Amino acid sequence: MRVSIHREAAPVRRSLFRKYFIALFAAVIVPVAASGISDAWFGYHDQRAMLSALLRVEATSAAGKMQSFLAGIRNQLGWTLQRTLTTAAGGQHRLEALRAMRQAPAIVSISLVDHAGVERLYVSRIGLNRLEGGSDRSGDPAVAGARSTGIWYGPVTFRNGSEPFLTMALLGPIDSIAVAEINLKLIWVVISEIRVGRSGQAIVIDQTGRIIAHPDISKVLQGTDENTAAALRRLRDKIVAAHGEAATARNAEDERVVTAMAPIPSVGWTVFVEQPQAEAFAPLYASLWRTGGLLLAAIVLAAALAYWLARRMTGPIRLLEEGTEKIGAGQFDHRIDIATGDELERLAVRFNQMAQELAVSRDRSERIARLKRFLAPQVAELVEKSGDESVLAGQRAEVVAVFCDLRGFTAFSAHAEPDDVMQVLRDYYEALGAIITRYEATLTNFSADGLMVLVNAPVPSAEPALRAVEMAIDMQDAVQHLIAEWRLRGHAVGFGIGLAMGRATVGRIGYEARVDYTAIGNVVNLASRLCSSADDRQILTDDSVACSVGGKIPMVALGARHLKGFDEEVRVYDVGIRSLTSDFAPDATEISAKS
Amino acid sequence: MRQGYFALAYLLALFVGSFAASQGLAATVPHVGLLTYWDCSPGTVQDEFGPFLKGLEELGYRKGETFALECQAAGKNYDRLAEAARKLMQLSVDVIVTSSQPAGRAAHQVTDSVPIVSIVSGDPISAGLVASLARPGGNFTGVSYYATELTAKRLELLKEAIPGIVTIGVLANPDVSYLPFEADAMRAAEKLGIGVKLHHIRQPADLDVAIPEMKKESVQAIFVLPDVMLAGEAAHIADLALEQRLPTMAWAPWYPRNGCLLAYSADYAEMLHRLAFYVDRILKGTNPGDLPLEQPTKFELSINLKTANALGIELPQTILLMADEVIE
Repeated sequence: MRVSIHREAAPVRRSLFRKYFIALFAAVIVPVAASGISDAWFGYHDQRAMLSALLRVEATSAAGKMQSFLAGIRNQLGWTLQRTLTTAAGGQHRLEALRAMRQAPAIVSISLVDHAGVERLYVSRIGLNRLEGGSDRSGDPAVAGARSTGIWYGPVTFRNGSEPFLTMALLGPIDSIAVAEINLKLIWVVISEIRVGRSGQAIVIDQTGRIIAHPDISKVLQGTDENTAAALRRLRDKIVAAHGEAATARNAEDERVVTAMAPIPSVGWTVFVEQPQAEAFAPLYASLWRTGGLLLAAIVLAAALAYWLARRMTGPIRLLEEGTEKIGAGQFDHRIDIATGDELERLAVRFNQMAQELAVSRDRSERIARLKRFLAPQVAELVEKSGDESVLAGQRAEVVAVFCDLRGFTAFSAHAEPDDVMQVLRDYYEALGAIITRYEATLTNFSADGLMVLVNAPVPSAEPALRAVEMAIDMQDAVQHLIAEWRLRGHAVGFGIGLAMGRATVGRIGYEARVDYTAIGNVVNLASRLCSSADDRQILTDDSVACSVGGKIPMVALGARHLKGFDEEVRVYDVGIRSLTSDFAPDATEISAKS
Repeated sequence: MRQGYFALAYLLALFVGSFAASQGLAATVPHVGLLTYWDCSPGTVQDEFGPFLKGLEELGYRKGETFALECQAAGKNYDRLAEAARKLMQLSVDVIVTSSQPAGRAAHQVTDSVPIVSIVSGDPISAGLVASLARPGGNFTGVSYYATELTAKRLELLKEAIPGIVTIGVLANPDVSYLPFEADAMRAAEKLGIGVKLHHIRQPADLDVAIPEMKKESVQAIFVLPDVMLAGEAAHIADLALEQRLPTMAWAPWYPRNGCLLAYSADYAEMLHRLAFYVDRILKGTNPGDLPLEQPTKFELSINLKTANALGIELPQTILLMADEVIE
């Protein structure tokens, strides 16, 4: 039994523990992972968008600063153009030009050209001034440019191949033109103050892609080599490809940067702002690491939780399995101990109750089996059902004792083959047993061919004597049929019955393992003696049986007989057998008349 | 994590640094060598190199901790500059810093391997110091300024300040006649229609003779040409000029501060300050030949109104308007 259960349990294809573990683990980790991953995803996009917006703002603001630098110079130039250029006012113009240079340190020189294109004044910080008598500058592209567009910006020139200069020409309200040379190194002050994040920077390049402003002034003064120009072109292409959003690329120093740009339309320059990628994405990386860490922690926690819960669920189930195995193996005293307070505990309680009931049921069936040895099965059931075995307790009761045995059996058994002997006895007991059961009589004991039956104990019956006599008649009848068969086979046996009614002590005797029900008293001896004295086919009864039966069954009074063990003579009646009833009928009426 | 390493490295550096300092500075810290025409007394060094040293400090350098400062002087003798430069070489300095063209030139004559950072006047390319302003190419770099162009500009400003000027007395040191100052001054004077009385000054004592002599030559103003020896004689010249009631135009702001009437120059303090940037880059491994020479963007007109009053000169409005520094 035990082995077979194990054989069933071992090849569990997918254990409950595993299923629970996976289900619980998934229940915890899937939402956490989904939220973490979506957070990271959206965080990444937000961060990228924010970074792009930030860099674009920085670029626009840097471009704005460049533009206001140029606008400041333009405004200063504007002040020099308020008066008509006349010789008389020459000193005044010079003062205005000097004032403009004082206000705008980047202006290295200013030329004032009149409406005819003649230079009227030239003041410089370094070169010698020219007052009056100036040359014709109407062919100067600056002058021509300013005349046609109002304001003209020249290309950036690198003086001595190093310092960047810009020429700006402005047309005044009275057709005079101011041409200024501007030292672009001064925008270095503006550009070097721009800080994008911690170490990001801004760079300005002109139309031709040459660097004109860089926080590291050396990069401007050295001139822009082909590699740098190519790198800057690459940055520009990348940003254009990203539709103006910040792009990641390698800059001229071959560092990974995030970069955005903004144009300075008036001069055709471009401002790049760039931030090292590692720095720009640091918050993003930090948040990714954080998400990863949390996810890992969640996995560990979920695994621990799932393990604990799965254990908690499958542990009691295992206990139940073991418990049922033990109970199945007959250990009804085994109790499954589960205190989870849930359905599993209830199930365990049910199992325990079942085990208890199985134990009770087994005890009962054992008891019934025991009772059935001497009580008719239905009687045994009755006693069992009532649950009251007090009926089996010792008491004095009015009983009918019935004894019967075969005549000539000892002699038969002495020379017959054992098989024949046993066959005879088998037929004999089969016939008698059925009758005893039918009459709900109590078979107290039997040995070889003799047996003793009680009527009215332990279960009382309405007319015990009549019942006993009818049973005896049936028994005699049945056995006589058997005897007829036996005689055909040459077995010379007969059958006699003795009955007696009277008070006797009844009850169980014996020890725990072997208990019998029996009756003790004179009536038992009497019945036994009557049986002994009965001939074949005879049913002898005593006086009290005959009186109790009355005239219901005809009997033949045989008169008083002296029986062994009895001092007085006993009056004996013969019931006879059914097949002979007709023969003896007159006698029977006789008896009833006599009594 | 990385910051942690940096902190550790920094602590280590501090420890090693203090250890080195207690051991009289190990060879691990860079040695910066100053080459000066004057002397190496702390006061003089501070006067000459103050803005430079301040610039180094601003870049995080600590004298005696993260760098060692060496100094060699020519003792007011141009001829000894080369010798002083050689001494610096023997001290195996990592970079030589000078504040004047002659000192830078002397160092350049001594070494073509140790980086030299200097203020240069004149044309550094034709002087053979650098290949170009954008890419010097050799071991020499620094700040170049328009000394030659400014000579003409100074003369123009002097003429503007004292309109009736006809003749000027020029003070020049023949020791630096290899620089084009004299020729520039002559050319500009000619262009502006001014006569020139040139006086060569080899030593300060020559001034005591030259300036009274100028008065006798009836010059209307004194014009001082750039020279390190003359730089140190600002007060001397001012006193003598005032004695002779002559206005003076000089080439550095400290002349008016010492009593001369006018000076027009690039911003020396700014140029010196800028040298610290070069030294920093060189100590961090940049080849000096890759560091472009910078040119000053700021020019200062300095005037001394006290002197103007003493001389009975009323400066025109344009000069007052242009003045960046006015001593009253």
